Amino acid sequence: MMWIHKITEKTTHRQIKNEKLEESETTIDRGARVEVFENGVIGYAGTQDISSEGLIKAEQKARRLSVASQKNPLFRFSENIRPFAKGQYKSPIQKSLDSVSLEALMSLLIDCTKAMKTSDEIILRQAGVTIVETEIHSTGPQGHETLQNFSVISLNFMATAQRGSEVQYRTLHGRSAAYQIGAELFSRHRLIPNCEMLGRQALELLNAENCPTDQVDLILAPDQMYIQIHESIGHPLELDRIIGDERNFAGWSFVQPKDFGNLQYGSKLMNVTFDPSRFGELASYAFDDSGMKAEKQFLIENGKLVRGLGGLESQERSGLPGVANFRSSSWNRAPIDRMANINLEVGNTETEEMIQSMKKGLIVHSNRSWSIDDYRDKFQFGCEYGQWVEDGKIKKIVKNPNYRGRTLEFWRNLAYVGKDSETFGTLNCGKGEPSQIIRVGHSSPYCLFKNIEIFGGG
Amino acid sequence: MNWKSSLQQSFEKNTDMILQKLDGETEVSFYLEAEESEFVRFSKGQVRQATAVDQAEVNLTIKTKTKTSKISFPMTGVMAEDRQRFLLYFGKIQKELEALPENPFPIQFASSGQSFTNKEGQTPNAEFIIDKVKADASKDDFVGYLASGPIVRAVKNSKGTYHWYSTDLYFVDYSLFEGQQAVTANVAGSRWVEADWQNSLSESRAFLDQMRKPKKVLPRGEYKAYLAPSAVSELVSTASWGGFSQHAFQVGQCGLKQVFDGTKKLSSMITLKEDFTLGLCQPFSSNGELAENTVTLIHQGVGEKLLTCSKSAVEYKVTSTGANDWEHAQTLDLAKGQLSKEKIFKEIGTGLYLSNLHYVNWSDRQSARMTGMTRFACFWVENGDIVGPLQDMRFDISLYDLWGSQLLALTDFQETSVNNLTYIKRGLGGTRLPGALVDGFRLTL
Ligand SMILES: [Zn+2]
Repeated sequence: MMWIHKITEKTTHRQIKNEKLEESETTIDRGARVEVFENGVIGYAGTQDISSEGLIKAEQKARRLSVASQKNPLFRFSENIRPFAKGQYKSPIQKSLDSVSLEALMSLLIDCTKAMKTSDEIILRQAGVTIVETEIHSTGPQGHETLQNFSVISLNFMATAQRGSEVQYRTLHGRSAAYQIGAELFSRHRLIPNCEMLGRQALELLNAENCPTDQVDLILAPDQMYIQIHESIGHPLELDRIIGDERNFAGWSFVQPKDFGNLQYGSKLMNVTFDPSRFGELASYAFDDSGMKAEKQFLIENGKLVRGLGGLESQERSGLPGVANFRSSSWNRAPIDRMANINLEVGNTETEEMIQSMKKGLIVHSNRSWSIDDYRDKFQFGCEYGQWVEDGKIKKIVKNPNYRGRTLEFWRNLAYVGKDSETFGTLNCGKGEPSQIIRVGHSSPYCLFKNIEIFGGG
Repeated sequence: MNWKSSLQQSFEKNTDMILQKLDGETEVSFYLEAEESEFVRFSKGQVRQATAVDQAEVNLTIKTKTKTSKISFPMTGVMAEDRQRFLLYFGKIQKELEALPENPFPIQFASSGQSFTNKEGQTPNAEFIIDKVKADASKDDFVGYLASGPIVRAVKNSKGTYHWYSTDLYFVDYSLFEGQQAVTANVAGSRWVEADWQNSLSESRAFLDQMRKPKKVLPRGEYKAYLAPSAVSELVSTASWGGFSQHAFQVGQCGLKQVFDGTKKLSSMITLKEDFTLGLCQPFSSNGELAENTVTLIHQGVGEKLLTCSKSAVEYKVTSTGANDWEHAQTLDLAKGQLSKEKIFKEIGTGLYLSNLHYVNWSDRQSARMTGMTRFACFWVENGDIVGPLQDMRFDISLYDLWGSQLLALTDFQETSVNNLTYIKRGLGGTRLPGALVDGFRLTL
């Protein structure tokens, strides 16, 4: 049996620096991945020659690799790992990308860097836009056919302030403002005020005190929650990690097969979903690369771990429940288990109530540093902008806010979950051998965690 | 005709075809990145997935007196098909130029002559490594992968510059596991050397034997530590993102800013060079500029030169070192010191032996602080003897201290490791580094 995935992707990156052009670059990528499934083993071949001659050559290579792998396979799969599929997906777009001319886009970005200039101390102002248009056309046996079109925009806005040797910056949401969206994102009256805010806050940081070392209540804004979810929920729940495929590179997981249905991952307020149907979120889609239909599933319910992030191959290998997340980064890589949209479902606390509940604490915004161990346990994160709270009120801004902790203890300290969710994402989640980068989305409200170790820079 | 030859022929003919179309105003540069690869992925000594990939990307930069733009597109090595693509994308980018604002810092494409390097080897294919792992490592819990086959980098521009660099390379990057204890290694080269493979496996097994002892759980604190070259490599590789960059320095984001502005001096043992004579990667940039053979970044603890690309050179009115556009180091050499292999454990006395580090990231660039984890074959040592493997710990430490007053010794040997990154495409380059003995290595979690 054979499947062919033809992938066409156009990426344009335009960036303005200090009101002048910094970068204009277009990348056209087009290729096909041919997959040959024989005797329970799939061989893969990627080519940029998608003529019928090119595809025949690729098929021969894929067959050769299937045959070679059959000599010592890790697992022989049943045909169930490749369900029949027929259907389409299109990113939800209100305004077509063609509706904004290059001149208009450039002039908007120029005005964005102008808006960041709240003072002469804002030495560097950058406004960049990355637009990705992807088409994935998959065909297979008995008329199997899916066509998925994605329209993605990622914003990279940054204001850097300097006074003497002190340098501080603010970016728009720690560079996680990335969505499936159309040209409606380029709205002047939404972007310009954001840019003014970045300029103002970068200046505030120049005047701010360093974040203290302490153990306090910590509120994470949604643009920090996204990476906390990504690193300490998304990756450890990937079934291919749990069954050992990534042990040489990305790592293993503290989660074990027996934990599904049993492990109390976090407090009762914690509800986490795999949701490929969320409007505008970066990793929404209708089918994964195996043809499995993508549907919303609870991974963690009332704090208890119920389901992992593994496609049909990992499900067959492990006997564990999974989701439709068998995805490759492009035509030149074989699909593996990838998180997609992993969201923390909303709770019922207003952010203001959370702040009022704090005797002493910290609110952090926009990620700037991240690191976690290969079992996804001991983490450390740094943020751009901190707000210090005493007696239920925000008292001052602090710079270089950092915190560290251990995954289960941290999530069990989740004490409040906000009412309103915000959506972020990244184009650059890395994993796999050979390595792949892929798009992931994370939605979350503000959340409060008790007793967290915090510290500053320097 | 093989893949490499058809690719070369098509690249030469089709770039010439575009060059002949240029009017006097327009200049172009073509940068080719290509590979013909086989990847085989293993877990538990068995094949997880095998993938073959042919890929070639042309990065076309076009400029006039005032404007610049770039487009990248795939080529196939099939002459007629590629001709259409060159024409199509050249037309598109030419048209787009009109709509773009002016480039405030236009660079000159280099006129640096011509060169041709083809490092022939014989790299293992999928069948070969599958048989090898089955024969030699089926009793081990062997996990990792082979990446193998030719890699090409070439540049050609309208100033008559043409450099071609092709090399046959492979690596097997693997770990051996026993329960949760693991050791990692990398075997690499341009042809298979059976002895290298066998030695690597037996060294790994010997390390794994040492890890059967009970795990040592340490409290947070500061420890004397030996960092093996592979651990030093994790720090140096992270530092090379922004730590030696002219652009990062100019906008206050250089992780080693104070070394390069002269306000801090590192240990005089630290002499760090970007050294293209190691022969690990192509010595030219994407616009045809030849890199300096060696660029001394830090000389005996004092910041000397920053990696500077032609764009930064124009923007900040400094001299280019021929660095790539990102100004990250590709082929670093840290000078060796005095500590001999035999004395390492004795000199640790009581402390840490760290083979590898994991997920290293800047935690505060302004103070050169980095955080990361211990991983694989890390040990607790008492009175010069291994007591047992270490429970993974997080560190958070300033390079100003670690490579300054806390640096006790560098080893009198270096290890060369090749770039094993395979995001989007297989990387070139690598590092040649000694091990380092340090005091006050700060464990925080
Ligand atoms: Zn990730």
